[in-house]
Order: sequence, then C-alpha cells, then structure tokens
Amino acid sequence: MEQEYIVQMEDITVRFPGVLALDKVRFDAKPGEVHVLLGENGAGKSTIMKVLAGVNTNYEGRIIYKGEEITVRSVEEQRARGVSIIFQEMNLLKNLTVAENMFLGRQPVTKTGSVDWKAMNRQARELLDSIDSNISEKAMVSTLSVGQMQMVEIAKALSFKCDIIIMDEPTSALTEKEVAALFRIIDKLKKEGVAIVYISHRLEEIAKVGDRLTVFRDGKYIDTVNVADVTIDQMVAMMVGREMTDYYPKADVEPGETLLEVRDIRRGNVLKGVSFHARAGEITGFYGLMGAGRTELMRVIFGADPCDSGEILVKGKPVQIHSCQKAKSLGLALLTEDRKSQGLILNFDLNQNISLANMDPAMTAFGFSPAKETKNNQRLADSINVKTPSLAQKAKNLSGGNQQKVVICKWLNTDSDIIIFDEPTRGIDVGAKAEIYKIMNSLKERGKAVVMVSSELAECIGVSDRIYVMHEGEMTGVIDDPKDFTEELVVGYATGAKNMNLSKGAEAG
Amino acid sequence: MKLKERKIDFSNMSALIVLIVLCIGLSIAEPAFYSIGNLINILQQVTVYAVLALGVNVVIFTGGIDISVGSIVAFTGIVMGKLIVECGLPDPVGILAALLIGAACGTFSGVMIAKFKLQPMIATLAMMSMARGAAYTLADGQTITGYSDGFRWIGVANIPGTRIPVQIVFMLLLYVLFYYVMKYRKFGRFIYSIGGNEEATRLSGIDVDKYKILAYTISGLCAAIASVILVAKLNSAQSTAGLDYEMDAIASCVIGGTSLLGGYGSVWGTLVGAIIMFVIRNGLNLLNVSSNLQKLVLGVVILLAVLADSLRNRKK
Amino acid sequence: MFTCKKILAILLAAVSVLSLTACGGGSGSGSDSSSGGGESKTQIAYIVKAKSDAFWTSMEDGAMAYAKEVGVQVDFQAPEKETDVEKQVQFMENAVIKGYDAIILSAADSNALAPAIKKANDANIPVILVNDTMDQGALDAAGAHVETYVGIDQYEAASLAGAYAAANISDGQICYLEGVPGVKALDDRLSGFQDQCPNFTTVASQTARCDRNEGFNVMQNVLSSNPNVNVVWAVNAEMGQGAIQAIEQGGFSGKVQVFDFDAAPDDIKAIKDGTLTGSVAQYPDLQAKAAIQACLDVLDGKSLDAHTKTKAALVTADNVEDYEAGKEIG
Repeated sequence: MEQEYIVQMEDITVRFPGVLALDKVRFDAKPGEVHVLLGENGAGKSTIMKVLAGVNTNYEGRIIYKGEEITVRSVEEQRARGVSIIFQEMNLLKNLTVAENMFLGRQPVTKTGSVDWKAMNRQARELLDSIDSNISEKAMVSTLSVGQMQMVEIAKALSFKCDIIIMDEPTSALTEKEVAALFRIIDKLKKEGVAIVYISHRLEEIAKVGDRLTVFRDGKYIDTVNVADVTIDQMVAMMVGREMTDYYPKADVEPGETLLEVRDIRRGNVLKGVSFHARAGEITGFYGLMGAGRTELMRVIFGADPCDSGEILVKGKPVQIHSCQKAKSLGLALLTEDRKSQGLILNFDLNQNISLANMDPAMTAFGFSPAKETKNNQRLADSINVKTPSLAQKAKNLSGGNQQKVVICKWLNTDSDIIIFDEPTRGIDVGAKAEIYKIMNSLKERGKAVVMVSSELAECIGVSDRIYVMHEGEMTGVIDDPKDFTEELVVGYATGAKNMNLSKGAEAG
Repeated sequence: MKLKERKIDFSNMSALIVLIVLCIGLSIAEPAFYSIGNLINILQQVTVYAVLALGVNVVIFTGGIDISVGSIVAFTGIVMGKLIVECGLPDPVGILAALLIGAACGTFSGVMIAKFKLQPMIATLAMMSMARGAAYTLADGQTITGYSDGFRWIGVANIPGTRIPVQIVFMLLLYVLFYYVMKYRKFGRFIYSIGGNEEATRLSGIDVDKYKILAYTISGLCAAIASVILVAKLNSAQSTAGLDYEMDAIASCVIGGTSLLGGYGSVWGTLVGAIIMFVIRNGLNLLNVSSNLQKLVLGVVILLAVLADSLRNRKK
Repeated sequence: MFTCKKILAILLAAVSVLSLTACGGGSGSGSDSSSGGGESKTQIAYIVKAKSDAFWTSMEDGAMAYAKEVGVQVDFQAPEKETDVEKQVQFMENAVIKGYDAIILSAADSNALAPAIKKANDANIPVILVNDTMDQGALDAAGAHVETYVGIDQYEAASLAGAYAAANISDGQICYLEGVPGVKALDDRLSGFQDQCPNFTTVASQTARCDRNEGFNVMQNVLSSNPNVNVVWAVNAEMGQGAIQAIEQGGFSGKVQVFDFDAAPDDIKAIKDGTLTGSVAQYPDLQAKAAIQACLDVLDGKSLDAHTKTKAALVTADNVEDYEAGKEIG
C-alpha cells in the first residue's frame, strides 16, 4: 500500500549557539506534489531542510519516513533513503567536467577498477537529456553560466533515484528561459511521483508551481495551506504577520539637503538601473531579500566595485568614484556587511583598527604619536560606549556588538557626512542592537546622511525615515512617509509582487 | 587601563634570548669569540644580509614575499661596475644608477603583483630569473674589479679613530630609519594593515596597490644598497654574487619573528635574526666544526623560529 | 624613472632575444643535419657547470676556436649555478634525445650524473668527461661508462702548489678553504695540497661554498681565532680572492701567503700585486681542445686511456709575465 506521506517531520527543534533556529516546527511532503516552504530571511527554511537532508544532524523531534520513524545521521544515509538536496550555494568543483561532478565519488568503474569514462559520460548524457538540457557532459564546470550550473545540480540530484528533491531557491540565478525549463522538469518529476520541496521568495512563481504552502516565521511554524486557496497578499501577511514593538527609537529631525544622489547605476545582471537619494538628517533604509543587490549597490557607491554606467552626485556635484580612497575623501563611509573579513583587522588592537581610516588625529610634526592616538580613540570609544578593558585589546577578542562599535569608531574618526551601514546589526544581541540604533539616530541628529541596508523587516521599518525596496537588482519601490510603512507593502515590493517600476522609469527618463 | 600600552613583544624577546644564549655558549667554548674584533667582524659580515632582509621584511609585512633580491644584488652590482670601471663615470653616478635600477626591478614586481594580481612568489621568481640572466649577459663571465679608494671607503673603511667599519654604521642608520618609518609614519601602519587584512584596509579607503608597489620598490632598493656595500667590500662585482642570499634574508626575517602571513613582525627582530645566523656561522668557523654541520644547525634554528610563530598563532 | 625602465626593458628584451637565438641555433642546426643529405657536420653537445666566470668562458672560447679549426659543430650549454645538478641531468637527457654524435660533460656532481650518462650509453652516444671526473663506483653502479676523462689531474695540480709552499715556507699554520661538498675535483685539490705539507699545522678547514663573499667571511672568522695563520689554500679562485680581501682588511697583509686554483684574471693581478703567492693554472682552452679531439678519436673508432691528462702549472710572481704572454711555464 502506498503511503500518503513520504515524510512527516514533527516538533523539530534546532538550536544554534545562543539562538533557537527552529522551535517545534512541522513539515511534510506527499508524493507527486510541490510543497512550498515560505518565510523571511532567517525564518528557518534552510535549517529544516538541512535536517531532512542530513547536513545538520543536531536536532530534536520526530521524523517519519515512509511510515517508519527514523533518526537522520548523515547525508549519505539520507541520499540512500531517497532524499536529494540542491543547495542555494553551488557545490560543484569548477575544475572538473560536468559528468565528473555528477558522479563524484561514485564513478562507474571497469572490471580492472579504473574509471569507466564511457559509461560515466553516457549516464551523464542520459540524465541531462532527461531534463532537456543541451549542456555538454564533457564541458568544464568553470565554463558554464550560473544557470547552467544550477541545471547540472538538478541533473546530479536526479541521478540519485530520489523520492524527495529539495530545491533551495533554485531560480535565483536562472534566466526566464531556464526557469521555464525547470518548471517542465518539476512537472515531469511530479508525474513520476517524486515529492518536491520548493523554497523560494518569488511569490508569483510559487503561485504558478506550488501545490501546498507552509509558512515559517522566526523559526516557528505558522500554517500550511493549499496554494490555490490563497492570494499573494495573503501569503505576504502570513510571512510577516508580527507585531511591531517600540524598541526602535526615532529622532525627530527635519531632513536637510540631499547629500548623496545616485542615478541609474548598472552593473551586469546585479544592478539594473538603480536610482535613489539620501538626505542630511535622515536614515534612508534599504530593504530586500538576499541577492536583491543592495550590498552590491553600496559597494559600487563606495568605489569598492566598478559599475557599468550611472551617475553619482555628492552634495549636488557629479563625482567619479573609482576607488575607496576617493569615496572616503568625498566624505563617504561604508560599514561593510561582513565586519570580520572586511571591516576589522582581527589580529590588530583597537587603536590600530580605529585609526586605520584616518591617522591624522594621531600625527605630530615628528610622525605618529601613540599617546595622541590613544587619547583620540579613547574619546571616540567612550562616546559610543565600546566595552573593552583597553584599546590595546585585540579586535578578535571583542563581542560582535563591540566589534561593530569599533568599526563605527573607525568611521566616526573620519567625520564623514554620508555613512552607509550594511546590515549593521547582523549577529548582534538585542541590547547592542538598540545601542547601534541610538548611534545611527545621533548621527542623524548631527546632520549626517545615514543609509542603512537591512534584511530585518521590523528593524528597517522601525529605524528608517524613508525606505527603498530592491528586488533582483531593480528598485521596485520607495516609501517616503513612515505612516505608509507596512510590512505587507515592503515585502510586496521585495518579492516582486508589487513594482513601482522605478528602474524602468529611470531608464526611459 | 593604559598600562598595557608598552607591551613586551615576546617573539622579539625569544630571538634576543636565543642570541644571548648563543653568545654566552660560544664565549665559553671558544674564548676568541668574545673579543671586540670578532664581534665587529660578525656585524660586518651580517651587513649585506641585514640590509637585504630589511627590504624583504617590508614585503613580508604586507603578506607578500620577494625572492628576487639576491639576483638584484648581482644585476645592480654588474651595472654599477660597468658604469664606474668600464665607462669611467663618477662613483656617485654609478651608485645612483644601481639604486635606481634596483628600485625599478622592485617596482616592476610590485606592479605585476598589485595591478596584474600575480602571486608574489611567481612575480618575484620571474624577476629573480630575469635579473640574474641580465647580470650574466652583461658580465659575460667576467668579474669587474678596480674601484677607486673613495668608492671602496663604503665597504672597507673604519670610522676614524675606531675599529668600527662604516658599513655597520650605514646598516644601523638604515635600521633606525626603517624603525621610525614602520612605527611612526602612516606608511608603516598601512604596510602592516595590508598584511593584517588587505580587503579591510582597502575598504578603509587606503590605496593598497600603491603601498604594495612601494613595498617591493623598497625591497629592490635595499638589494641595490646591499650590492653597493658588497662590491665596495670585495672590490669586485660578479654575476654570481648574491646567489641564494634571498633565502638568508627571508630566514633572518622569520628567525626575528616576522610572520610570513603578514601583518606581524618588527624591524629590530629581523636584525637580531640576521645576527643569529652569522653568530652561528662565525662560531662554527672558530670552533672549526665540519662545514656540513653549519647548514644543519641553521636549519634547526629556522625551524624553531617558525615553530614559535605557528605556536603563537595557535595560542591566540 | 623612465630611463631605468628603459634600461630594464632593453636588458630584458636582450635576455629573451639571446635565449631565443640560443634555442634557434640549436634546433636550426639540428634540422640542417637531418635534411642535408651530403656531408653532415659532427655535432657535439658540450655541457659544463656554469658560464658565469672566466674559467668557463675561456673553455668556451677554446672549444669554439678548435671546433672551427677541425670543422665540427659544438653546442655549449651550462646551468646557472655550478651546483645545479638537476639542470645538467636535463641537458644530458635533451642531448640524448636530440641525437648528438658525442657529449662532453663537466659533471657538477661526481655521483648524481651517472644515470644520465647511462642513458647516453644506451643511445650509443659516447660521453667524454672534461675538467671534472666522476666517481668510478657510481658509474659502475649505474652500469655507465665514459670514454675518457680529459683534464688535469686535480690531485697532481694541487700538489704543485703544495710542494711550492712546503719548499718555501717553514713552520706553516694553514687554513684550508674547502669547496662545495660532494665534488671530487675539489676534494682532490684539497688532499693534493695537504699531502705535500705534512709538517704544517692545520688550524682550520672550512667551506666557503666557492663564493667570494663567503670566502671573505670565513677567512675573517678564522683569523680572529687563529691570528697566526700564515698559509691559505683556497680550492677555487673566488674564495681565494675573498680571503685576500679579508686578510688585507684585517691588517694581516704580508703575513699570510695565499694559494688558490684557476689562475683567473683577478689572480694574475693579485700575483703581480703580491697579495697572492701562487695560483694553479689549468688551461681550460687546452682542455676543451683535447676533449673535442677525444670525441673525434672515439668516433673514428680509436680507444682512449681512462685519463687524457692535460697540462697544469703553478703561476707565481716569478713566471706570471711568461704566463700572461702565453709562453710555456712550469
């Protein structure tokens, strides 16, 4: 007798150090259906699928697979059971061929024990043909486009004769044509009775391809519904539906002149004509889902990456920014998303880190003075309450929140007018978060233009004075009045469900 | 709170302790070791290598490496010899030409590394071969001898009234200058920062490419200075000069506590490292120990130094 | 800055052009012999240890002159460093593949090249050693054989200097500057001198890696522990020159008699200046001539003695003028 469910996961709890990533959630999958898993960044979608695929075996809860209760112990075991996962990040080895990648570690061998290249290439060809792909099985992976790599991943997953295929944001890197091909494959798999777990942010896509829909929010299970029974707006409401708290301070400042204006920035496939402006005495928020192009935009503005075209005006004057030192000299500051690898020199002490962007306050006629440096840096550190026994402490010994404050000190030291915070509170505990918000507000009160990129919806709405929303390299919306800030509206723009066509407008103008 | 400002740098201390222990041990084993004359000899022998190491050290601080310096010693020496002895140009012109060419060789490597993103080992390996080849081609198997007394003054003269060779004074002045620049000028801070985290340094609005190129330029310049001293000391320029000297220079840095990963190390530590190597060679010469053993002992010292470096990194 | 870059560019270009022409010369002549159906020139690969000092350039000049005289083609090859054994092995293998008629080799290591010589034997290419001989045991172990060793007897040549020292200096305190470990010729030079001077006291015997600066440093070190040294035997000219500098700078001029090997141009000048007592000349041009002649003899089917001895002589202040003039000495 056939089981109704291939897998049922109940009361699954996953703890990461200091965080409850999943809190007694449930999820199931039936043969021949597409079950969509929906939620904001950090809702726990990838986490539960890593449990199911055996990537993360540190979980609590019950998993019933084909009617039997199982304990998930490894990827290999799950693969043998019929669970395949296609990861968001590519797991292909670039210097091997397509066929080699598909059969990595399980190459067919001849009687003498050497690799049977003919059989391997033939089998790879069959798999690629089964998904109507014309990629050569002998091509080096390094020569493929990202979309083609995604197709290879799918073919590789199919080679495992599976009952469940987990696709984690499979379309994020695909062109429209490739997406259509993927959907045809999904249809075919459904007919063969395979269960597909589909993780995506693209709501319109979900409406098209999904059968059932489960929503997670902040590591908690919200609901499971039939896709046909809900509208896109309802999906958004289920995704966000949380209550606002007032732990976001908002200083009341009249915005001043426009300090930064950006017009029609384009960069390959990543930025498709983005325009915005930021004013003095204002926090300009940027929301978007992962891969929306916000970080890339900020890096272009700061001269860290080149762009194809576009205009940048600082204080009304058009400028060319080809390097970070140029950006700094124009009064820009960028606090990078990844402070450990891009913001700090972890092995250096706080003094050295704080002085890095501007050593002038520590210089005398005879060169650099350690005493002067310490005095200046101590003043900065005290002003934003950096907690450290001494400025001679190494940066790596500080907590995430204090590390972020050190990076802030570094840029306060340059007295920049336009300060870009990229994910300023990622990985920081609640208390330190509130302090960072306070610092941003005090900068705003001092007449700085503050730009904040955030993936946390509540934070973005709570802290910003205006919000720009990006979706796949396009500016899909701008909300000028805090009164209009609703989570539904912001998420609608972020998922591409709503679009003010700002980028296209800029293109026409 | 500010007590820890003057922190004792353990890695330099360990090199210094090794040096002191070595000196005490050798003094006991061979009384001739502990004479002013011999100690001056050691410093004189170390000069060329210490000057080379000074430049290489700056490159290593940035997280790079320069293995072309030995060849640049030969190349600049031959060019200088040709200009002074064969073309009859004034000494200062020859010296200036050597310094410029040394710096240009370094700049060339630096540009390849910073702008064309070649790996430092590869770029300087190419420079090593090119400079050596140029030296062989120019010299055509001949040694170039016959320099004026004024020129040889650099390599052989003592400070009037003392037994201290002027080349030691040159070397110490260079070390003082580098110590000052590395510790008290922005340049030094940026060089260390690049080695500590190049991307973070770039994103702090610092022209990383410029400073990386400068580091290799300085390395090439130091090689040329070392070459001038060497030619003056030996009264001859040969195309075979400086073979394998880059390894001694790198070893000096490492023994002195400089991390090959970049971002860490000191100027004085390198001098101590270079002196340790020559104290060992000198001591084994004095004791007339089999020459094969010298390499073995040096290898052990280098190993211990690198081991200390890796243990330090693991502890923190 | 611009001129430097220009000089650099010119030099670099020159180097690459030279290396190109070197390769081109080799391969071009190779095709000559295969396509030219008529009288093809005898081709000899001449592999030496380095081209970087006067000894080797003098040998090259001698080889080229004699090659022209007897109408053979000689390709002269050398690694960068005298100690680069690996490179020599590669040269040997390439020469075998290219199919030279004979190979002349000056071995950088008295053991390591035996297998490479075996490969030449297998290809029926005769190998003649010049200047540096091989260890017979190593040759036997590899099953390799060489037609003859052309060169001076290193031991005998060194004993010329040793005998001179023993006859002219009584009560010697001697310092030996050894060469690179593992090279038989340098070891023979050491013992050749030593055996002539049994009455001298050996106060130091140290390597200076055949490098001038090292020779300086080691001499300086030895003088500080043994200020009474009065004889120095350096097994090559570079170390000898370094020692002379150290003696001068240490204020020991006139107290120490230095002997070295090679009679390089620097040595001749030093002998005239009185800073070098004697230097053993080994006439590299004559060696080259004899080696090429040996090749021709072997190819004609003659059998040769194991050692084709060439001339060596001690150059001192008494005969330096004659030596320079190209007259017979010793």
